[in-house]
Amino acid sequence: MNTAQKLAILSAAAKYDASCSSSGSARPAQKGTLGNGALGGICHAWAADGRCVSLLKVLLSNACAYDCGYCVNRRSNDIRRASFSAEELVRLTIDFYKRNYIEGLFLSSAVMGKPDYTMEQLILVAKTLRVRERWQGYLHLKVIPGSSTELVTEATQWADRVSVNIELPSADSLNRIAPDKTSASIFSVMRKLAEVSGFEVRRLKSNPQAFSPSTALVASEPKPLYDTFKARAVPGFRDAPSGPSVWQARKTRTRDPLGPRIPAGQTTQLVIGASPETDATILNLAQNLYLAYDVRRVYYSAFISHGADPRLPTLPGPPLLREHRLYQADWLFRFYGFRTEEIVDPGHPFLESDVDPKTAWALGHLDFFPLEVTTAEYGALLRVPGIGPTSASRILKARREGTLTFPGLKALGVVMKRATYFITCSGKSSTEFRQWESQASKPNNLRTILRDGAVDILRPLQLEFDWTDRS
Amino acid sequence: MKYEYDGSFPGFLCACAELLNEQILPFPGNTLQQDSSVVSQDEEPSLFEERFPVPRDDERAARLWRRLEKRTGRTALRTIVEAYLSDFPEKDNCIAIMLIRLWREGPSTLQDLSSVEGIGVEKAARRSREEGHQFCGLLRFCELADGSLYGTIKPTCDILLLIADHFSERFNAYSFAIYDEGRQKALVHPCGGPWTITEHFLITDHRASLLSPRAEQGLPVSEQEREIQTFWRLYFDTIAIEERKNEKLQKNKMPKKYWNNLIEKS
Repeated sequence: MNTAQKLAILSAAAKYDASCSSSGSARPAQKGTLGNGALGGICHAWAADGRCVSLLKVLLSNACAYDCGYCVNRRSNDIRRASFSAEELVRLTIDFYKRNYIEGLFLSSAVMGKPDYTMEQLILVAKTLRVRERWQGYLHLKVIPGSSTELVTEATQWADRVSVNIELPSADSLNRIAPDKTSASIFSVMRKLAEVSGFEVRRLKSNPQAFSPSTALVASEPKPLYDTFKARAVPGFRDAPSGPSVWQARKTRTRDPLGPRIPAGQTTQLVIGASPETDATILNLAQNLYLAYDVRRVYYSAFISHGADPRLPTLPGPPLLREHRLYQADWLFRFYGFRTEEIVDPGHPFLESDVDPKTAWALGHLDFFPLEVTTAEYGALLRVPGIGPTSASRILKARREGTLTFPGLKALGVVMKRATYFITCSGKSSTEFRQWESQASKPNNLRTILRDGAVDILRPLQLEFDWTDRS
Repeated sequence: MKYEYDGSFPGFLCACAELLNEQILPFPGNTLQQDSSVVSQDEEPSLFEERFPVPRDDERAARLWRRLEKRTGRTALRTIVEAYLSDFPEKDNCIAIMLIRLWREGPSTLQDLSSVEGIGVEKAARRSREEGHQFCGLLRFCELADGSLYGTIKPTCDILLLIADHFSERFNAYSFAIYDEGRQKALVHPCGGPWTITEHFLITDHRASLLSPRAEQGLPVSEQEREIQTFWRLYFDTIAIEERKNEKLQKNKMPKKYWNNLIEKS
């Protein structure tokens, strides 16, 4: 088999991993060598599915000893198998990198026999790139659950970022669909990785629907997570839930993008729609991973079925709308100071499909509005549909130097056709809002007005599956 | 009064110096005269427009620049340069007025997003900064027979200056050139550096056909070049997930105007 054929097979086998980012590492350039890290990450192209291509994302081999139902490379799936030699992959990486096609390498692999052997092969590629080729580009290494602590530690020496994919959001599903993996092997590796990157691992908050602390192997941790942070509510916002948001917790963390080991930390991925967990379970797990292991990103990957597997549902298409809403919720954790409990709760375990989760929150908390933009704090501004981190910080800047007006807000980048229903400026509502409000019978209620375009684009592919059939 | 400059950055600064004199000398502390502006000679004058041409004087420009640097610091001036390099329609005037205000009120003026010039400078600077960042990814080098790297771009803003440090660091061990085909200038970096920007970088016709990454024949490219380009196209096509096809999103992220110089798209 030649290199082109291998590349076709092994990149197709890797493409379902959603992670593509190349951020978080500022590995410096060295005189006379090739490459460096760009802290904010750089996208080099966008594929036909609209996803960015930043890294050369390939498997070293797709000949897998495991039989995980959701995975295209599972043992029982009848597909062509291939493996790169370390040398082949090193050449390909350097050749792509020096032409500026890519920001680095995302290297994963099927489990070739045993986890330790697979990990050794991955490390060999990494080490050759770093030591022999003196290459300083971005390296994202997959860590194989079940490999030894020594190998995990060595991997962190060469990589900018590492990841272990949890894939299935509960221990039950994992046992049923991925019988070769255990949650213990996954979480012990994640925990080790968190320690290596200098983060003090905390206990995962117990959630009966998700992983219990004992399966997560962190039961021996002396202190529960939530003791360490002082809860601070969003100013002016009543019923603030206890505990810090991911956003608040992260502000107190120091990270070293020049650090010697995995400066860009670890990430993970969850498959959406291959198992019956609710959005609440998924988001609780994600929030806990951010808080307890300092995971940098949780990726959500809409399940795409690869041939019939009796353990898995047959879907009309990948649940892209659900995936989209989960990403929006994830953004609310990391950049807007929201907590899971504000977005989903036992009574409403799924995100709404018609409106984005922030708008859904706003519609459920109309007493928090209208917000006075000339005085509101940053965290409160972020609660307004149509105001994001960029426009919120511009508002702070602008009102320090001058007076805010409605046209001025628009110029600052506030999406007025959404925000106008939720804000006042110097005590006044906008003309559009007053016109809308004065209508005797409002032709459109707020929910209809604020419905977003994602529904129409993504709903045709939405999962419609009755899980009660499967019990 | 409209002060006309020759289209160069030093020329622009000289026109700004005129404007600054006009605004400052007669009545210190008076408000800005709204009908004064700075305009490039490349812009067609309207029928009854009167213009005062300001000659380019590099020393005068440098003096103004040094004084501004002392007064406002480097960070503020970086934003000014970024704004100047953009294609934002109102940038000349926004920057000119901003320079006057920076001179009078200090660097915090840049934060004033409630004024037309403040928002204009920020938008203009952001536009070229973002395009510069985008081309850190969208540039495609092709390896020439002697091992040096050559890439062609056609950006909307004049971004070579903004990407020079990035590429010079990352590829410091390589000789490379990045050619802006719209502006006919090039960033040239010999192995080990330092980089320079060459204006009017006219590749003679035979060289042009040799160096264009799209030319099929007679390229002095390295032996491997064709094969690696094939690998890249193959990878690019394979990595897309059929079930998630979304060409609108692709075009939104990677506008079509850039596709000509992308190996995977041309």
